[in-house]
Amino acid sequence: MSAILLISLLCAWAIFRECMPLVKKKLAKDAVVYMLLLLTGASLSICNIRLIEVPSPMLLLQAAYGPLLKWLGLQ
Amino acid sequence: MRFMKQSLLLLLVLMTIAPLTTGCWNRRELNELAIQLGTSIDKIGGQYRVAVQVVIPGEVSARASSSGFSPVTLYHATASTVFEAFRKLTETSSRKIYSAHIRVLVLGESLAKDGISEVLDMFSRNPEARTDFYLMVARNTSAMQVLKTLTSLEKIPAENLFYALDTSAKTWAPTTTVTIEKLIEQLVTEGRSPVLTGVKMIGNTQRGEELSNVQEIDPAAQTRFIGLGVFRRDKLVGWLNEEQSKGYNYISNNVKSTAGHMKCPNGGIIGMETLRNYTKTQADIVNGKPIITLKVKNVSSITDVECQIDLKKPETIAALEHESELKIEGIMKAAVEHAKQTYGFDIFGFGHELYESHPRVWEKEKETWNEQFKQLEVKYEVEVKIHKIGTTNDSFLNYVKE
Amino acid sequence: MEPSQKIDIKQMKVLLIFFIVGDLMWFLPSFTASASKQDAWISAIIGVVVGLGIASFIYGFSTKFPGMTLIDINRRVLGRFAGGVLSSFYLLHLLMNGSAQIRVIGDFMTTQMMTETPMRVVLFLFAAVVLISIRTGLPVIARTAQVFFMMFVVLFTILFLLLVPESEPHNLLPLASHNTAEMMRGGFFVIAFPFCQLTVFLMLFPLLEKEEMTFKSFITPVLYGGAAIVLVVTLSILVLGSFMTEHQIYSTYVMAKKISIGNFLQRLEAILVINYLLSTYFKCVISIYAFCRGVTILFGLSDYRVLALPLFLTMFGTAYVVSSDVVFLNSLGPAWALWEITEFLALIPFVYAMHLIRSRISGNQLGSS
Repeated sequence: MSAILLISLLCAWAIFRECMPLVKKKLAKDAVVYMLLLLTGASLSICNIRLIEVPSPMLLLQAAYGPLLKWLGLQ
Repeated sequence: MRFMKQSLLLLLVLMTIAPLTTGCWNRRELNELAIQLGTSIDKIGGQYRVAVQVVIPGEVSARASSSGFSPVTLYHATASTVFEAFRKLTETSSRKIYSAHIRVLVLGESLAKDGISEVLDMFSRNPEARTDFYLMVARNTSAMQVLKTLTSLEKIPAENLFYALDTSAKTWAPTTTVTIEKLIEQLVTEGRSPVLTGVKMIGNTQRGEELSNVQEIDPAAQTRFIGLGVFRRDKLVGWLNEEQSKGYNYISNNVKSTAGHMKCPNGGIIGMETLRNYTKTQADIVNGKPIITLKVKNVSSITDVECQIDLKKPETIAALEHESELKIEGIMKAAVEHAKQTYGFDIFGFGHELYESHPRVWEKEKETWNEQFKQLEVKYEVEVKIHKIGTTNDSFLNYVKE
Repeated sequence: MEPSQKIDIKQMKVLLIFFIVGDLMWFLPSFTASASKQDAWISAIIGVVVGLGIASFIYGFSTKFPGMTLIDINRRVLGRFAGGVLSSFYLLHLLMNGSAQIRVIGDFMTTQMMTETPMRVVLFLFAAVVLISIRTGLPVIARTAQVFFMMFVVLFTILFLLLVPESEPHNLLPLASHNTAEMMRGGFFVIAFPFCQLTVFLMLFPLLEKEEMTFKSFITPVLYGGAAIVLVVTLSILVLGSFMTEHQIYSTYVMAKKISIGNFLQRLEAILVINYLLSTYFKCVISIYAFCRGVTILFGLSDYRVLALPLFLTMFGTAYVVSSDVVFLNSLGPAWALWEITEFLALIPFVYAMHLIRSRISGNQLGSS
C-alpha cells in the first residue's frame, strides 16, 4: 500500500512539474514518450516494491541463444 | 532567499540520507553482539552439536579487575545442520552470536571420521566468516571439552589454542597450521589429501573446567597439540606419530624452524636447531615411470652438545652436516614408508606435483595412482649447512676436571 | 539542446578507462576461470588482443561518419524505418545493460556486506544517483570522472601491490595445459563484455568539443583498460587459485579480504569496494545517458533531460525484473555475452557493409550516368 502511495506521489509530482510544461509548449511527442516511460516505470517499480513475480525478459535471451551456446560448448 | 531555500533543501536531503548510511536493516549495536572466538563441532547421533566460546568483555578488559569469574562462556546447541545449530544457540545466549572474529574451529574425532566437508561449506558461504582461523581435530576427547579448559597465560582459551598452534607451527616441526581455504583447496585438488593437527587433553579434564585450574602453578588440565591427522578425501583415516608428522612437514615444506638431535661420532647425542628449511618436490619421468625427487635445503645451528666432540675443527662440522642429512632423509623416508604401508594412498601431494609438471602423464596415471604410489620411487637430496654453533666454540664438556 | 554538452578529449579518455574497467571487477575472473581454469590469464590476454582489434574497428567506423551519432548513422545507411528499428533494439539493449549493472551492485551489497537489507533499497539509492547524474548532463559526469580517476588509480595500485605478497606462483601451474578451444572460450567473455560494449561511445563521440579524437588518444585508454583486465584476472588466479576464483561469486572481493600486511594492515576490502562501485557507476551512467540521448534523437524530442525521472522508475523496475535471483543472473553470462557480440556485429560490420554497398551502387549510378 505504501509502495503504491509513494510511486503515485512521485508520478503526480513528475506529471505536474514536467509533463504539464511540455503540453503547454505543445510538444506532443515529448509528452507521449514521457507518459509511456513513466507508466512503464511506475508499473515495474510497483512490482519491485511489492515483490510481484514478473517473468524476466532475459528468459527470451536464454531461449534464443540456447542452441548456439550448446554448439559453442559454453553452456 | 534562493540561497536560503537551497541550503534548507540540502539540509533536508542530508538529514534523510545520513541515517541511511548506518544500514537500518543491518544495524547491529555492540552490546547486542556476543563475540565468538572459538567454535567446536561434534557429531552426536547424526546431529551436529555446536559449542561456541564467547568472550565476556568485562572480564578480559585490562582496567577492570577480574572479579573471579571466567573470562569466557560456552553455549552449545544441537541441530541437523550447522547453521541451524548456530541459530539455536540463541535459545541459551542472550545475544546473537557474531562469528567474524573466530580464531579456532575444533572438530570432533567422530565427526572427522564421518567426513568434514559438509561442515565446511557453511564457513565458506557465510559472508560474515573470515578465512584466517585455524582448524584442528580433537583426539580422545570431545571437541567441546577442548574449549572448556581454562588457560593461564592467555585469558581466552580460544586465543590460547590459536597462538599455541601458530607458535608451535613456526618452531616445532610436527605441527602445522591449516586455514579453511587451504583445506578446501587441498580437498578439491586431485592428487592432494589434507591433514589437520590434532589436539589432546592431558590431565584431569574435569578440573580443567574450573577456575582452580588457573589458580595453581601446575594446571590440572592442559591442551596439547599432538600429531597430524591424515584424511582420505574428507574422512579421517589415521594419525601420524611425532616422527612421521615431522617427516610429513619436511616433505610439504611446512617447516620454518625446529629442533632435533642426532648421534655424535663418539657416542652421545648432539642437539641441532633448524633455522631455515626449504623443500622442493620435483616430479620427473624416467623410462616412462614417474620418480619423485625431494630436494631439501636446510640451514641449521648446533644448540646442545651432550657428547665429547671437538667443535674447533672444520671436519667435525662437515661430518655433522653429513650426519644431519642422513637424519633428515631418515625422517622423511619413515613418513613415506609409513604412508605407503599403513595408508596406501598418496598423502603428500606427489600426484599434484606430477600434474603441475607433466599434465599429460598425470591424465594417464591418475586412475591407478594409489597403486603406483605404493611402488613409487622417491629420491632424497638433502643439503644441510651448519652455519652457527652458538656462542661457545668448544664445549666445556671436554674440559671437565675433578 | 541547452546547455551545451561538449566534453574534452581528456575527459573522454577517462570515461573510456572507467567504462572498460567498469563491470570487470565483479564477474569476469570467475567467468574466464570457469572456462580455462588456471590458464585464465592467457584467455584474458587473447581476449584483450582481439578486443583491441574490435576497438580499432569501432574507431575506424566512427571516422567514416564524422559528427553523427549511431542513430543518425543507422538512419542514413539503412533508411529511416529500418534504421529506426535497429536503433530501438540497440537502445533497449542499453537499458538492459544499465539495469543489469545496478542489479549487480544490489546483489553484491546484499550478499556480502549488508545481508539483511532488502535489495530494493540499494537499487533505489543507486538509481537515484544515476538519475541525478543524467539530469546534470555529460560535462558534469566527465568532470566527476576526472576527479575520481586519481583515487581510482591509487586504490587499484594499492590492491595490486598489497596482494603481490599473498600470491603463490604455483597456482599458475601447469602452464598452458588447456587446448586452444578452451582458452578461446575464456577469452570470449573478455571480448564480449568490455570491448563489444564500446559501441556506446559512438553515441558520445559527436559531443567532443574541439578536435576530433585521434586513433592514438582512443586506443591508449582502451589499452590501459585491457591491461587492468589482464592484471585483475592474473592476480585472482595467483592469489586465490583456480578453484576459488571459479566458485566464489565475487572473487575480487574475496581477494581483497586476503590483504594482510604485518598483522596490522588488514580488513581493507571495504575501501576497495569503493573502487568497484565507482567504475560500475560510471559504466551505468554512460549507458543510460546514451539511452537518453538515443531516445531523444530517435523520436525527435527537444530535451533529453526531461526523460530522466521516468527513466529512474524504469531502471529501478527493470533492475528487479531482469533476473529473479543471483543464480539466474550469473547463468545468463554466456547468453548475455553472445547478445553483446551480435549487437556489435549487427551495428558495426553489418551497417558498414550496407554503407559500402550503397556507396558502390550510388557510385556506379553516378559513374554510369
